[in-house]
Amino acid sequence: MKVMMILANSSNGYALGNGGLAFIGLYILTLIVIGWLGHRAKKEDSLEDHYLGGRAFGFSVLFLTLYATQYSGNSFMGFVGKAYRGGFPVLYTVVAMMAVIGGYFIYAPRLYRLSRRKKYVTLGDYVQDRFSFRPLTILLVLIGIFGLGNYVLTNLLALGKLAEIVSGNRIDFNYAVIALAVVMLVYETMGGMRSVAWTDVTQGVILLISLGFIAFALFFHFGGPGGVAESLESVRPDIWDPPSIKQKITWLSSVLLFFFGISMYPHAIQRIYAAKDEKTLRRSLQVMSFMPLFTTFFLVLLGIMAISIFPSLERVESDRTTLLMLGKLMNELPALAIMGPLLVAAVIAATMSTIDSALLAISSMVTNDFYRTKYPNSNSKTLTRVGKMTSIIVMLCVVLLTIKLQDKTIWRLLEIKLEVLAQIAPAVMLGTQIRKIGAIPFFIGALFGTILAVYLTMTPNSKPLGVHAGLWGLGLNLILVFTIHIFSNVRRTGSPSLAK
Amino acid sequence: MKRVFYLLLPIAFLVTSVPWFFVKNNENRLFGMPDWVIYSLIGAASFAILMTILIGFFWNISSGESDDDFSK
Repeated sequence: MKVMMILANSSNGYALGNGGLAFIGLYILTLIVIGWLGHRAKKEDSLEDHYLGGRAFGFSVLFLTLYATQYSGNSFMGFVGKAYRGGFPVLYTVVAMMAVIGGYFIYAPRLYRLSRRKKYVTLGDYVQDRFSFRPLTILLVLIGIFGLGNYVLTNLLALGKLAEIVSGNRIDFNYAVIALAVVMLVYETMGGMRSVAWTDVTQGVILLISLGFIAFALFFHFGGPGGVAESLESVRPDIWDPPSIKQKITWLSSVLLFFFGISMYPHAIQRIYAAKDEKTLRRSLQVMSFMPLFTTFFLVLLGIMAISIFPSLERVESDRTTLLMLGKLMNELPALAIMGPLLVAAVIAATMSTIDSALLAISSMVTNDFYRTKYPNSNSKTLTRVGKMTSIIVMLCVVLLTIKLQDKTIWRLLEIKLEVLAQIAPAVMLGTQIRKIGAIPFFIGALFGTILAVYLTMTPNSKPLGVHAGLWGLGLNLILVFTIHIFSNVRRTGSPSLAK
Repeated sequence: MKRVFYLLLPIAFLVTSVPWFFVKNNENRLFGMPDWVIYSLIGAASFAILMTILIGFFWNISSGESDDDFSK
């Protein structure tokens, strides 16, 4: 009876009972309390304090906020569904999530030192300081805002759908989106990055506990991949074959897209700025390197093992593989019934932590890179207020778009995130490593790289030769950067070698 | 040159972590998974170890020997 209060059967796989919904409600209220605590801990009314938490994040906060931000609801739902459909080849996602740390390694050491000395708050601060060319700063900030805006929209849509499913359609999509958006706005505007990071800590801990449960269920209850190998071989013999050459190229292309795209997330860059010291940042990134083995790997395995349990799901149904597996586990392990709501909370947590971080980054870029530049004499209090107003306006627009566009084909356009964010990489990675290259090559490279990436993404074959549109764009971007750089040096000095 | 080597090393590792040399399903299984999956998982674990070493010991190489700023 007690178990039935927490769970309820659903055709979608898993729905919470009243007790489970109350648990989720309590969890969401806790986030507001944490937001208020973040507000109380505020030291001053400045952009640095609001958007970087006073640059004082120790190891546990920095690591968990990086972790909760990097793993979104898409990791919990999208990766599992993808693994269900694609089988073992989807394991590329494990390497891809690790590749992000390789991207950080190229620019974070130098950028961190510069950010401490020059008090950078946003990505735009670095770009303006490094290149002193306003059009480039505006272009890269706009690319960042576009990528993050899409990220927020798609995650909010996923959050609304999830609320609908786990409540067994008792909660309406629109109400869920509005309510969760208000909660995120409340704790974010109260304490800025500090509140967001502290809620990320809670969310990160829930994610880790849930993954421990998933790992336990996979290896002890279902017997690991070995336990289901026989039925897997008979149901889906195709997933055992090594990827074809085209699939291998796409595998590498995906890994590189994560390398250059996710490492450029403006909110991740702000977390690099927010580290208390270099040692803290280094330790956090070192631990983050291993997290895909304990996160993405288990999630992909969950999707693969689901094939033997639910052998004939349609594509739409396969996106709910996580919930289906959860429903099955809850039926078979009623003693662990509390893990059901906790896992739902983990998916909600992963999605919310991604949305709030991205929203805060958008707000900081609008305030710092646009408003502050236009009104340089504004005091800290005014800027913080503008930042909060920006968050509210952006969230309002995002909520309206999510509700209006939920069934429209425009979502194809909104899926473009990494493809455009990767175009920022040359200016940040090469910009921190090679000081001789000026602003114009990066500007032209980023502009045409973005145009090509968006164009190819919108065409029916968005991966010519198995390579992602974003990488084609990045290739053009880099060719333009080096060609224009060398050409401009030849014109100036008569020899490309003098560029050195 | 040394700096370029350390900065490009992660990309080289990522390229090798793709199971390029596995063409056919040869029935070899370990922990219930085919050998090419084990290969890419070992590749992933190796990459994580590589990043830990690079971040731990070669951080200063990436940050650049000269720490002067960009101001003109």
